[in-house]
Amino acid sequence: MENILFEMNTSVFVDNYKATAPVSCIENAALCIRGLNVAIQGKPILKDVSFDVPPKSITCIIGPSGCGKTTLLRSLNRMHDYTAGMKVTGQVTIDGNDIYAPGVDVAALRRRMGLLAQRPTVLPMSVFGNVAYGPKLYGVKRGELLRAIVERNLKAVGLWEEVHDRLHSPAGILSVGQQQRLCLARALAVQPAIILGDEATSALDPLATRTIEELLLRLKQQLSIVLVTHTLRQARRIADHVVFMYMGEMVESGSAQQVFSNPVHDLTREFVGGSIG
Amino acid sequence: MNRRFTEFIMKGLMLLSVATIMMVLLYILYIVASKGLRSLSWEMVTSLPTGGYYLGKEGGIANAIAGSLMMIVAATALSLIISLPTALCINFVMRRNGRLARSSRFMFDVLFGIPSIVYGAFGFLLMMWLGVQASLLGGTIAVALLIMPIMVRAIDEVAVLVPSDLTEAVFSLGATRYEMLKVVVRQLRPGIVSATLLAVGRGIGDAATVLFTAGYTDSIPVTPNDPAATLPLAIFFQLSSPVEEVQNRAYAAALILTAMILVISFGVRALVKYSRK
Repeated sequence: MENILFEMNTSVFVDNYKATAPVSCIENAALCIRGLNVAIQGKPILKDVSFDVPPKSITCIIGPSGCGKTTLLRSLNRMHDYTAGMKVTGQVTIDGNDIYAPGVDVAALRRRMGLLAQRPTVLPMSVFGNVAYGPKLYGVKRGELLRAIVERNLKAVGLWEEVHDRLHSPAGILSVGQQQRLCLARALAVQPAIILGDEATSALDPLATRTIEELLLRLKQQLSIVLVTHTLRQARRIADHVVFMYMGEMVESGSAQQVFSNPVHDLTREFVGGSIG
Repeated sequence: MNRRFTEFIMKGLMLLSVATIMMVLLYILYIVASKGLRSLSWEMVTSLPTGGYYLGKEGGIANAIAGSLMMIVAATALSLIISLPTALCINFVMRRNGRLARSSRFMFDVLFGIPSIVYGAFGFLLMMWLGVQASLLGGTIAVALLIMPIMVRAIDEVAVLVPSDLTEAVFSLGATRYEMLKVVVRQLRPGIVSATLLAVGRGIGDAATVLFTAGYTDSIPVTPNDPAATLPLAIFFQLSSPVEEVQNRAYAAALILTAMILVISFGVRALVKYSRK
């Protein structure tokens, strides 16, 4: 099945642009964030955030409500571009390319980063149409190829068996858990390198949550996943790396084992111990 | 006891209000039907007025039925072409609740409240200025102006409900703003249909707008530059006649107009329902 890749320009989203200031990241980092500041109408939300997202692993961003987790995630695929009064400075690089550099093709950039929102948001079209939407944007027209892409990605999220006989029904009739898996299939269909999840399981019941978690654990063999999560237990279950945020600042980041069992910072210790948050 | 009594009174008052409105509506339908049915005949619907029609001789109002239909179809199409992009712009290009969007909404509310005779007078001035005589074209433009603010606001009412989750989901797949708008229009389809029907109902029944702009004629217009008869004016002219038979025909014309609106309304809704299956 792996050979059904449609011809797309997957890696180049910058016109011959290389980051001006060389940033030192860990080797093969999926994402490299350096000195990221985000402010809305002059009020700072993120202050000098720096960390690396290691490849082919799950990085969980944890922290109490209002600490800037979601803002951080949204700056990784430039979702703030349409928010008026939002100012982003600093560097976010993929393969050495700064995504905030002038001349970046934002649409192509976003395609490399699938987004899984808090509430599953299906497009107002059929199940098939949802998965085929992205590939169609990139010029896949052949029905046969589209069908193959849809089938492969629905199988990848374990939804094929459940929906193969109602591919042309409106996606809205699926259960919430199924819808979230459909959203994941839709994101995978454009072959992203990174999946960004914004509390992607908070609207789901425990069973559906487990299904999504298992999927993410399987997917990390091929891509890098950045997950904002509210629940510490989830981070403990699936995270390889953890970034702890507090009041707009990155307090600590490291391997999950280190952050959970031997945190460096007092705030982290209090948070993972349950006394704050 | 006191609270229960208030509850009882309030409930009674609300039921009374509903009953009053229903009574008025039923009474209007009763008057139109009872007076109109007497003079309603197949000939009235299918034939043009003869010389002595307005004195009680034979003939019909096919000219006005055709004129009204042509005008409302053209005006609705013209208005939709302008209203849909306007409503989309207010919600998805401007900041939805920004100052520009709010002042645009206010402006459309003001336009909504302007009496139709003012649109008629404005249309008339515009035609004089452009050197166009009272015609199907002139009437179409005036009616389109009249229903435009209604359409914009009606589409806007549903467009504000489109969650930013949807637009972000589309963007995250690498869509451009135009591609995002195409998905949004799909989501808005039921709202666009309602807005169109609302506008058709308002536009087809308005006499003041077409009084100066469309003129009146005993024949069916062949080109856009021919004057066009309309049902509201047919009702007006017949009702002002001293001959009783002609007055009754005015009620028959009103019955035809009411039936047309009902048929269009139910027809379009049924069509939309059918097309979604």
